[in-house]
Amino acid sequence: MRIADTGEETLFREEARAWLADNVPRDPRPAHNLAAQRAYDVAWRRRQFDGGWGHVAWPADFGGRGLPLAQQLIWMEELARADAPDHIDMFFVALQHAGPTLMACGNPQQQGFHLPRILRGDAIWCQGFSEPGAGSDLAALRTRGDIDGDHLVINGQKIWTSFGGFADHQELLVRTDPGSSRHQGISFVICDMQSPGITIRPIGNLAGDDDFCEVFYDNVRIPLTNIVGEPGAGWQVAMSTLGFERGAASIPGVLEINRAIMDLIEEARARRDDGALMALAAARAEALSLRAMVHLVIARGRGGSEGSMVRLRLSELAQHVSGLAMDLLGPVALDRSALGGWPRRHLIDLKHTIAGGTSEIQRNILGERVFGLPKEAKRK
Amino acid sequence: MIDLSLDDEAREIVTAAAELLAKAAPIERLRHPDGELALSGVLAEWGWFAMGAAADEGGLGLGMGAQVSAWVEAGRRLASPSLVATALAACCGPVGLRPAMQAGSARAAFAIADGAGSVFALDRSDAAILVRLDGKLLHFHQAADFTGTLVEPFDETVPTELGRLDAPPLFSNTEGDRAALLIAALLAGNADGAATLAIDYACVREQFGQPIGSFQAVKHRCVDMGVAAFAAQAQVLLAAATLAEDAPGAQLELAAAVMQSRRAARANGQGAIQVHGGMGFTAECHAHRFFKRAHVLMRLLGDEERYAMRLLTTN
Repeated sequence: MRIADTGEETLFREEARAWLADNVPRDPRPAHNLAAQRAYDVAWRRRQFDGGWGHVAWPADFGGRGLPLAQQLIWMEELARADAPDHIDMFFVALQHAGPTLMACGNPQQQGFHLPRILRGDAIWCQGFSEPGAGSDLAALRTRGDIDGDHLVINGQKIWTSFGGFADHQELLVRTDPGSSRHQGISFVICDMQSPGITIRPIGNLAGDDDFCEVFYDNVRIPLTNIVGEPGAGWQVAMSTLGFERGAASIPGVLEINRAIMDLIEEARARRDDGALMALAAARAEALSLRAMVHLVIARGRGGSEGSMVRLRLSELAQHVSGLAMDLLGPVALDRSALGGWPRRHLIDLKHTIAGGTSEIQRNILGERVFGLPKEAKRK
Repeated sequence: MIDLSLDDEAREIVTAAAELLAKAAPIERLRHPDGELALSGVLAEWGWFAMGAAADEGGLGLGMGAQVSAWVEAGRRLASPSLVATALAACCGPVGLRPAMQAGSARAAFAIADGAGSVFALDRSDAAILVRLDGKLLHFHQAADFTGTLVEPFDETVPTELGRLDAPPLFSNTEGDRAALLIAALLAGNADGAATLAIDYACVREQFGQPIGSFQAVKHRCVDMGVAAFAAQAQVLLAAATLAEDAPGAQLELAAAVMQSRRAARANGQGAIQVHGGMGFTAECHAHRFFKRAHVLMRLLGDEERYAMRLLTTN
């Protein structure tokens, strides 16, 4: 077991820290204005790419630096220390899911075209998975892709598509085998969001933003060459990256909550709020243990499902911590932008136990795949 | 960068420790507790009380991380805290007694101040030394300086006496954090043992035509226990590694280890009883043992506020 950096790691950390000191944007990410956010996210992505920090984890073959995991973790620690923009921006889907999926299952043409554009910040991706009738039960999806010559014709609807109005491409799951049901007969398709027949309708969320959308497909034509992996094997393609370093993927959020708690401790101390301080001490213990969990998951080398334990606890801790901020602020919490926007954050935090797999589903998956509990029996 | 993996040799020793405990410390032994006399003999022979000592000094040469992993296993089997007291006496107690403690020919037990001038002795048995934890300090008393009477113990497998220590300690050191870490390891193991008991039961107990673990309410409760136990173990291991390197943040990580292992053991102790339903409330079912022992170990760690303060004042 080791805590301290090796000599090589120390040099790498210094290199990262120096670059970030010179290059992290001074201005914060614009709130509310999606177009301004897009410009900000593109600029930051491009700056990282130009500086040789396009992607620390991606293999060199695909334009990344292919760094060992320890250095990837150091990079993420240094990003947090430098107050770099949040890792959840308009490039999140491209970098965390679409790109890795193409690396795992795409053909050379798809990889060669899309991956450099993602790294350079030339293309934003969104996700077309959930439907009004297929949320937790994604396998119930019904959006169709019917073959017509060398195209697929898409009809149906997707929902909860973040940044749908700003994305260039969408990773889209459609049912291409007409008689199929559940996990069979689904294809993973790269959808050009400029295609005729696509209608995007933003959905207002409870925090006052409308970054997620409904997307309607009315005879949208997509070349068959946009299918990723085998036709009909789309479910497996979509799931292929869910084991992708799930443990390490939580690190940015874990580091951020640790720092947020420290900020609140300072605030609670200034207000001499002993009750809040005790609650924050307990929250800090929890936040530190999340970091320990990431490292133990990595040490045990069983990333996929075990990493979900971190995500589950982190989402609930985040909600708890912003709740503590609300209590700490007292009446001042009636102003959504108080204390740097903690009340607004408490509203947004409501999504963390829902988006990307609800906590209920996460617990089912952990129960069955990590702890060996039996699946629910099917109703007769 | 942090790396919590054990090297092959250490991992083999920890696996051997787990296997040893599985054989020598079946939970059934607690129906007829003997103060772990039989278990301590077996462990002493294996080298348990000299885990950290160098090989040429009769030890196993294990680093803190591996040692703590072994203690977590002991916690899963509800090994008595007296074993921790003995290990502390063996590594850093009164110098003249260390060899006997390492060899298993002498034993130690814990004493806890009750805050009103009296002292509880836990599982004293034939201990020569009573170990008292006071924050950073560890005090080693002659057991002969203790007089007390048996009380009805919270945990019937830990005979408990209330009395007085009539003399100052024989010896003191500043290894309080090491002691807290080992107790936290027992608690983390306790939490894991409770979760495992509940999960195993949920897989076999059937109602409404299926194992109760297939129902989400029970499944989710089990998951929460398993995850809490994992978090506690992870934090205990990280604290061990940080302490071993005397790295900045050692005190902080230890404080978090204490708090997370307490929380997990407390919650999982009750959770295991709950998952067992009516059976959970019986003496025959083992679930209650985890609950009771968790509370004993929590009392050993003392006031949580001391550790909470570290989390508030250290960066």
